[in-house]
This record gives sequence, C-alpha cells and structure tokens, in this order.
Amino acid sequence: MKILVVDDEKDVRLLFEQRFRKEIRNGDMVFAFAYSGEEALSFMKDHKHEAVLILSDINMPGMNGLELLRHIKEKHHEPPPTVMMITAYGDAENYNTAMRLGADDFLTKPLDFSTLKEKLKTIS
Amino acid sequence: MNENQDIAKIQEKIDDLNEEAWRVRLTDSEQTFKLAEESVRLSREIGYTKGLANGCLSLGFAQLRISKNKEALALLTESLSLFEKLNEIKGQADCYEYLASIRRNFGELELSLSLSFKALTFARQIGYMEKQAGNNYQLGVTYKRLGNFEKALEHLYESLEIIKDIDNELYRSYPTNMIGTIHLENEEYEKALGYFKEGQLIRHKFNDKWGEAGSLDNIGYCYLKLKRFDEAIQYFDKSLAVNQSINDTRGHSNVLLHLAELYYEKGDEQNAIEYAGQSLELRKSIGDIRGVAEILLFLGEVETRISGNDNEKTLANFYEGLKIAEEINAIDLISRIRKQLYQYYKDKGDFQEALKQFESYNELEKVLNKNALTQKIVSLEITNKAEEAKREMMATQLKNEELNKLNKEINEQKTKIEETLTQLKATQSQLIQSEKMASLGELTAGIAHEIQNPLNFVNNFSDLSNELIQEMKQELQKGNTGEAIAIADDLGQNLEKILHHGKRADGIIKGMLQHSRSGSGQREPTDINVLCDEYLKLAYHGFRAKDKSFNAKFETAFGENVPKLNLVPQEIGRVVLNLINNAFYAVNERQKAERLTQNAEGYEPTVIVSTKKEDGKVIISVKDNGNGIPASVKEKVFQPFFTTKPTGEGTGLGLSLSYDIVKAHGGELKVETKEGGGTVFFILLPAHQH
Repeated sequence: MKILVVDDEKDVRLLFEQRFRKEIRNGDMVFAFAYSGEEALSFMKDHKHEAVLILSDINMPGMNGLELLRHIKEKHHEPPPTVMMITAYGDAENYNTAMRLGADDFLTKPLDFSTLKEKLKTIS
Repeated sequence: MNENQDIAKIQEKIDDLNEEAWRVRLTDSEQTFKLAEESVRLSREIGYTKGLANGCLSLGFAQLRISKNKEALALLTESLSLFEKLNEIKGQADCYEYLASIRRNFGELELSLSLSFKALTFARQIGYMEKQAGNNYQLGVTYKRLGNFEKALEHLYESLEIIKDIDNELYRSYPTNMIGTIHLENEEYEKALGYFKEGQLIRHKFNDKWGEAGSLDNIGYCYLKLKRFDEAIQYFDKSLAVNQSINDTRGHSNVLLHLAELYYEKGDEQNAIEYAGQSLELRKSIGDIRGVAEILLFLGEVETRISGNDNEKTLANFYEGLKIAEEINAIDLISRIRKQLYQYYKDKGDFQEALKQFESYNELEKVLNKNALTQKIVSLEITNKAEEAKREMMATQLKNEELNKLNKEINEQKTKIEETLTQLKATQSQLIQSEKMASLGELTAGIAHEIQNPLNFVNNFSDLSNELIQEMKQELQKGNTGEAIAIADDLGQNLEKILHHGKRADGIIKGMLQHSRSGSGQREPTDINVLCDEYLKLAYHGFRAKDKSFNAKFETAFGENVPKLNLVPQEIGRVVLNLINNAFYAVNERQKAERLTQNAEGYEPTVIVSTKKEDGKVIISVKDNGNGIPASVKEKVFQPFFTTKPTGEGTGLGLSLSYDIVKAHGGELKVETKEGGGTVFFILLPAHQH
C-alpha cells in the first residue's frame, strides 16, 4: 500500500519512517512525502494511481490541505484515493469543510499512531 | 600695586568722612561742612564717583540749611546724576527730597511737589522708612505754602504715623512743628503752642540747635499773639541765645523782628525801633531784600504812631521800603506801603496825594485779589496734578498686584497642565502596554499552534526512542551487533531531533516574552527574512484561531541579498505583525462582503510578504488584495487612536506605534493603496543600521 504524506514540517518524514519501520521493512507499506499542497499535486500527476491513501495536514503556507482535498476529489483522480485530513485545529468548521469536500477521515494532532495503524489496516 | 593700595586707602577715608558728615548733618552744620568739603575735594582728586556722590549730597544739604539755595542746587544736581549712574536708589531719594526743598524755596511749588513724590516713590521702593516720613513732611510743608492746609495736614499726619514705626524722635519734631505752624496761621494759638513745645523738647533732647532755635521763636510768637508778653520775651531770649551759638543770622533776625513787634504791641515804640533796627542790619548783611522792605514798612508804621504825620523819618522809611519792594516786584508789600502812605497823606491833609496813593493801592489790591484767586486756582491745579501722580502710583501698584495675581494663576495653570501631561504620559504608556498585550492576545493562538508542532515531535521521538531501546536490547541479546548499532544511530538521530524541536519551542516562548516586555529591547543583528517568516506564521495562525471561517493564501517573496540589520527584533517584529494582521483583516473583510454577494468563488484572499534590498535600503512590503483604503481615511491611518474597526476590536494605536518604531530605527513607513484594489505597506530601513 502506497501512502502519500503531505505536511510542511519536514521531520514528519523521519517520524513516519520510524513509526512504520516494521511495516516498511516488511514491505507492507510504502511512504512518499510532499511538503506542500502544490508538491503533492505534482507528485500525483507524476505517479498516477500509485498512492491509494493520502494523509494531509491542513495548515500549510500556499495551498492548504483543504484546497488540496478539493483538487483531488473534484478534478484529478478517478477513482479518487482515500484522503485523511490531519490538523491541530480540531474545530467543527474545519471538520465540516473537510467532510463537505469529501474527506474520508479527520484526525487531530498530536497523532495517535496506534489508532492510525488500526485505521490503515481496515483500508488495506 | 602701591598706587592701587593708596587709592583704596583714600577711598576708605572718603567713605569715613561721608559717613560722619551724614551722621552729624542735623546736629552740627559746621562739622558737616568741613567733612563734606574734604570728601568732595578728595573724591574729585582721585575720581571716586561714589565718594563724590555722597560728599555732594552732604554738602548740598548743609548749604540748603543755611539758605544757600543756588549752591545747594548745583551740588545736589551733581549728586543726583552720580547716584543715577551708580544706580543707587537711596541716594537718589535723598537728592530728590532736598531738590524739592530748594524748588519750594524758589517758589516753584508744582515742581517741588513732583520732586517730593518722586523721592517718596523711590523711598517706598526700597522700604526706606525715614525718607518716607521725610518726604511726607516736605509735601506737608509745600501744601501749606499752597494754602492747602487740609492736604498739608494729611501728609504731616502720615509722616508722624511712619515715624512712630521707625521710632526716631528727632524726625518727629519736624511734622509736629509744621502742624503747629498751620494752627498758628489759622490763629489757633493754644493748639499751635502745644505742637511747638513738643517739637522744641525733642530738638533740645537731640541737640538740634537750628531746629530748637526755630521752635523757641515759634513758642514766643504764640505767646506774643496771646498777649502773654513776659513768657514771649523769655522764649525769644532763649531762641536768640541758641541762634548766636550757631551763627544762624536769618533766625536771629526773625527773633529780633518778633521782639520789635512785641514791644510795638506793648506800646514801647523805642524798643520796637531798637530791635527792628538790629534785625534790619542783619537782613541787610545776608542780602534778604524783601525782609529789609518788610522792616522798613514796620518802622514806618511805628514812626507814624510816635509822631503822627509830621515825621520826615516816617516818609523816608516808607519810600525806601517802596523802592525796594518795587525793585523786587513784591506787590503785596507795595500795596501795604501805599495804604500806609494814603493814611499818612490823608492825616496830613494832603488829599490830592492821599487820593493818588489810594487809587494806586486800590489797583494793587485788585491785582492782588486776582493773584490770590489765580494762586488758588493754581494751587487747586497743582493739587489735582499731585493727586493724579499719586493715583498713577497707586494704579501702578495695583497693576503690579494684578500682574502678580495673574502670574500666580498662570503658574497654577502651568502646574495643572504639567500634572495632566504626566497623567497623559502614564496613560499613554499604559495604552501602549495594552496595545502590546492586545497584539500578544492575537498572537497566543498562533504561538500555541507553533509550539504544538515541535512538542509533538519531542513527544513522538522520545516515545519512539524508548521502543528503539527495547529493540536494541533484543538485538543485542540475539547477538545482532550490526543491527544494534544501526538502531543506536537512529537513537542518536532521534535525540538530535528532540533537542532541535525543544529549542524551537524555547525560541517561540522567548519571542513571546520579548514581545510582551515593556521598555526598549536591545538592538541585535537580525535576519529580516526569518523575522518576517516567523511573524507571518504567527499572524496567520492567530487569525485562524480567532476566526475559523478564515482562510487566506499567504505568500513570501524574500530577497536573497537582504543583509542582517542591527535592530530591536521584537519591535520591528511588532510592526511586521501589525501590518500582516491588518492585511489579513482587510482580505477577511472583503471575503465576507463577497460572500454576501455570492461572489466568493471568484475572490482569492491573498497576503504577500516580500523583502528586498534597493538603493541602500531594506524594504519590507506587506501586500493584500483587500478593499483598499479610501482617500479620506488614508491620511489618518498613522494617527493615534484612529481605527476603522468596530469598537472594542482595535486600539487605534497599532499603525501609530508602528510608525514611531520605524522612525526610531531611522526608517520610514509608507502606504500605497487603491480603493477596491488592495493595499501595500512598505517598511523602509537603512541597510546599514548602527
């Protein structure tokens, strides 16, 4: 299963690589990283249908996570990949917007990785 | 050096001479002359202005006392101009007083009064009580001469009142004596006698012989008028004795004439002629012409009584007196003599001559009456003028008091305004602090978000490291050294990350503390791009936290050649934050408006922060695509307390404080705006901050 993580915090990569080191080592999961909404879109253009799951932060400079979500769900991809939104702002407004735009799940920071792993298992 | 010492010694001697001359001026005229003449001579020799001024004053006074008015006038005029040069008020007051006496002796009563008032003003100015008393006395004398007894008494009583305070008995004798003279002229002899006797006692006590002789004469004259001849003679004799001891010729001649009058009253014509003759000789010797004419007239009257109209001597006396009187144009005397001549010729039966004398007498009386009337009018005018001068003096004093009051009020106002200013300054600094706290409030959410991320990393990497240690132990137990080392490398990396994110959170907290700190921070080399980036993030997250519906694009365009600037980071940071906050506010307002018109899709709220170096300046610009600022508002945006935000949302101090901060850094804060087309704020800072 290929997962694209979108976050402007670059250390997120190391964090995911360690958290999922067993899954990565076993070849159960493959991770790709993008550090902005724009970068995520161009990755998806270059690697069509590779990523089945997208984990995206909402608050990013430039294109934010919600815009990225709208792009993914409305325009580009068929079938659309599963998109999970992650944000520090666990407010209703963000949640509703994300859901309206077609987000598949909504997670709040700090991420609980065991919960995330459970969710990923159900998807795969 | 020696010469200087000599001069100093001489000056000292002159000062001593003057001091002594002044001290004895009332009690020892002869000594005064001697000392003052020596002082004047020495002062002229060495050109000692102060000495000369005082010397001339004493000498002038001495001359005045022996009726040498012209000499006194010259000396006192010189003294006055010297005291004016020295700017010595006391000396000027003295000169004016004596000059007033001289002018009075010349019959220039108006001038005399104005000089006395001048002297009085100076004396009051320096609180010179003796002079105040003296000048009131002089005014009394002059008013008496004008025939204005009322005014005269007023000033004399005031003089007495002042003397009572300064406790100088000898001074008291002068107004006392003058009051006596006024009663004498009013034919109130008993009253006059009381004042004269009081004056005489004082003068005797203080050895004022000149004055005492006058008092004794006055007392004698009162007794004469009361027809108590024995007592009168007693006092006249005493007066004569004193006069002789001081060589006062005029006083002597006065007493002799009074004695002549006394004997004439008693019917002793021989003695009357004898005394009148002696008085006549004395008056001739001192050149008192009018006095001579008066005695001649008196003698004529006496002769007439002795031998009726058949006396050549009588006629000779009358005509000699007439000649003198006509020479000095003493109309009153001429008139009196003509009257006697008319009587003489009538008694003799020479009616033609008698008629001629009578007509002449009659004409003169008309002139005299007219003169008397004119005199009265003049007196009234002078009195009015003097009163006016006095009123002006009072008015000046009142004006001064008013001015003082006004000054006091102005000072009180000033103090009040200063207090208000202090309060305002305190309020202002409170406002500035509250503005800082307000912007801190705006920051808090942004800061919380900014701290959340590093904290998440710290927690995650610590947690992971624990797991890794467990795994490492397992691998070591299995003997997989290579694997264990790989895990150890990961652990090291994790610890680095923990440290990095810990420091990141620390930096954010420090920045927040600095932001809220009052007072001025330290200048330090600051990376403008980093600073702008930090505050942009803080502002965005802060804004987001407040208004959850808010979403805006924010972009940065940082110039790579922007140098570090030496500035107070939290202050410039506040300016940047303020501008970005305003920009977000502007785009948010526009978005809300667009939503109402359902135009939201076509509008993308955008804030761009850029930096560049240009023409020796670093320019930070904050651009928004909001509604822009109307021209009517644009000019006011930097004014304190100006805000377009609803009440309670803005202090109106943000831009005003920003403006001040940038100015304090030697820079400029500018705005470009287009109504409906967005706004750009520019911070221009010198590229080389010192």
